Amino acid sequence: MAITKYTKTCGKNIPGSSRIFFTEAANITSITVTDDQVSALTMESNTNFAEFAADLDSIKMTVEGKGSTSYSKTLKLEAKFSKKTKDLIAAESALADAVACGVAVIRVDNNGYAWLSGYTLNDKNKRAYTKITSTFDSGTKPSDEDTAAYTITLEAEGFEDEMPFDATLTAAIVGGTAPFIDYN
Amino acid sequence: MTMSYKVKPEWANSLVVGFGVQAPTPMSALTQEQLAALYAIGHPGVEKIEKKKPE
Repeated sequence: MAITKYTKTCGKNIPGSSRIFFTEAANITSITVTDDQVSALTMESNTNFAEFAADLDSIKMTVEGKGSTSYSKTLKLEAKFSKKTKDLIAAESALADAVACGVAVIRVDNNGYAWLSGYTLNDKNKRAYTKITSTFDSGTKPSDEDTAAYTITLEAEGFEDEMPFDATLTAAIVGGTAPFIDYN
Repeated sequence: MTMSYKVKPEWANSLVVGFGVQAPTPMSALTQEQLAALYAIGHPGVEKIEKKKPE
């Protein structure tokens, strides 16, 4: 791909993410990409992306690309979930089960954009999130901030970044009307 | 009545993978079978055309 000019868009940049949704990557049956944005996404019947309610301001996506004669990208999605409950243990366990075959993620950032990762135009579900790290820290006293929480990190290695959804699907995802998402 | 499937013009250059399409393919190059499959699952870029058979 030839280098072409890049023009900066002026406007506020708001770091952080607000929502995350997970599914088994094999549940996605097709994506359609228009102008480098996901314009349609279809799934196996009776499947969807499930919303995981993470702690406020705890979701972090990092992308590290490196290479020379070869090139790779590592995507890491980290989120914190406070208060250990049976439901949280079950949710973490389900993610760990799904990682064996790959997980796909939709992330909504604080700029209002929605992003798909774990399913790409070139590799479909073959470069999904296939590693999970989960840690729990109980804390020692009531005033211990950011403890009694699970921190879950998913990792995918491939060579593509997250892919943005187009304006129509982003509006549906953010607005709570996307048919492929099971919202809280 | 015969049925066929057509890609909406604004979707013609969109790329599709999955659902039987192994590599990224422009929607305008999909077969009728593939379009029918996408239509069946509610793809917004495909429309169904019904034509009456000539009597």
